[in-house]
Amino acid sequence: MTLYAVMLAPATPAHAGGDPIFGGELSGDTVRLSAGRAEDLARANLTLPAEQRLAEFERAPYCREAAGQWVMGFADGTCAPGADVAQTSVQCEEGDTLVMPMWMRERATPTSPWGEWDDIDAGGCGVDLLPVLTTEDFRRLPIPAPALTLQPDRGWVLVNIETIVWTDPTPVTLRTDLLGRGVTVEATPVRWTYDFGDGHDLTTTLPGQPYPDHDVFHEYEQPGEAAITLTAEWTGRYQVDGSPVWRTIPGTAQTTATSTTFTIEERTSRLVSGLCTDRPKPPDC
Amino acid sequence: MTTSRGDRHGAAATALGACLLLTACTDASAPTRTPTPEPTATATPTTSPTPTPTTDVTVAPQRPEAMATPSADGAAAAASYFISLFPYINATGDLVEWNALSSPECTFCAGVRTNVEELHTQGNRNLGGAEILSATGTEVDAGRWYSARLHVVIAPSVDVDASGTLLDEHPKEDRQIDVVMTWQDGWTIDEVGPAAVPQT
Repeated sequence: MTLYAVMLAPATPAHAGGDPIFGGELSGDTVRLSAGRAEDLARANLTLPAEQRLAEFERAPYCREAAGQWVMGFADGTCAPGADVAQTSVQCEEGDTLVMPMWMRERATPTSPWGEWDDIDAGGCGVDLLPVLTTEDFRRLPIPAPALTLQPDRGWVLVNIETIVWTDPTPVTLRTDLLGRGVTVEATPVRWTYDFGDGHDLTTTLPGQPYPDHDVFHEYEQPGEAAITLTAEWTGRYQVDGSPVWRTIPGTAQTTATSTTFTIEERTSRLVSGLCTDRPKPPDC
Repeated sequence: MTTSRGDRHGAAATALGACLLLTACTDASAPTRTPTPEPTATATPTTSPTPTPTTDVTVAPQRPEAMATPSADGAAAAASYFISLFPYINATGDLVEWNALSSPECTFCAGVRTNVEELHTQGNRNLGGAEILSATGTEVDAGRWYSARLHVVIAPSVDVDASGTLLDEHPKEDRQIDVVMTWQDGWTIDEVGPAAVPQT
């Protein structure tokens, strides 16, 4: 497979004296923008029957002719004899593929002759062509409510005794689609906030454990009624079908779960005159 | 006329020296050290290392007519105009045109804006210049998407405070850049980045 080329233009060495004020702000995002637009155009063009198309798109390398001109190569990545394939110094992520520049030619009517091929983007990495899953897209996905387990879970708890809670930290896999491309999303809960319903909150990165290894719990101080609400914060990453690249979603999503309401009760110890298993049962049992 | 020649001479030399770097600078109080090419009422230092006339960067550049059309040439003109604002916004802090043309997603535009705002809120400014040596436009999707490749030379510049005291210097920059743009009843600059040029 021949390499073809795109190289980001090097800057001339700065003279002594301070930092450059222009070059430092230049953005590498132009590659992704241009490549994405060219790809959109090429894809849209395919929806027209070939005879009706007024444009043609093809990815091919830059080839330098003897005269020094850059011309279009072949779609297989090679150049005509006598022309040199342009080299690349674009760094793509492991597993990702280099994408050749997009060339386009047009004709005025379906029967007119085609114009010259013109490069409309300089290529880039495969990941530049992929649709982007935004934080908003992520938040719209059906990420499940977090698991919420209480211990004890019998409809009542005691004041001043640990009410233990725990959840499930297992990542969740979801499928969705972006612009017609299938996408796999992996959502992982990373932080949990418990609202114990008595004015107390607890935020933790621990998923919790049942007794006796419990490390997330709460002690109610007053009898009454409460329900526990758990809010989980999820991070995510996604992979577009056909590409091995996993990308991190910049923001987080939240889902919540609420327990059924339970009572908080007070039990005081007292001595009884005999044993409550005595027959007859003492009246103060 | 008796003058404290030492002091005045020294001050004039500094002002003159500074003026060689700046493209927007007149010093009416400095005595003329070389004959002026045109007769002027005020004495202005005119010794300059470059014989070409320099632009006053405190004067806003004008939108070129070519920019009014969505076409490859229109894109080249619009991109050139946008970049020519760079020394102007640095000298004056007037970001109206810069903001009008910048997409909210344009990180280059935002980065430059932040630097200019920071400089000017401190009461300082940057004086320099920019020259566009070449500009080639590409029509990517007629009436909608365009791009332009520019060869731009940013002149060495200086940061000065309100009284003209030199605060910092910045080097010359020779850049090939790609400007990605959209036309919709006018131009929006989507992003500006290093040009993706082929190499053998």
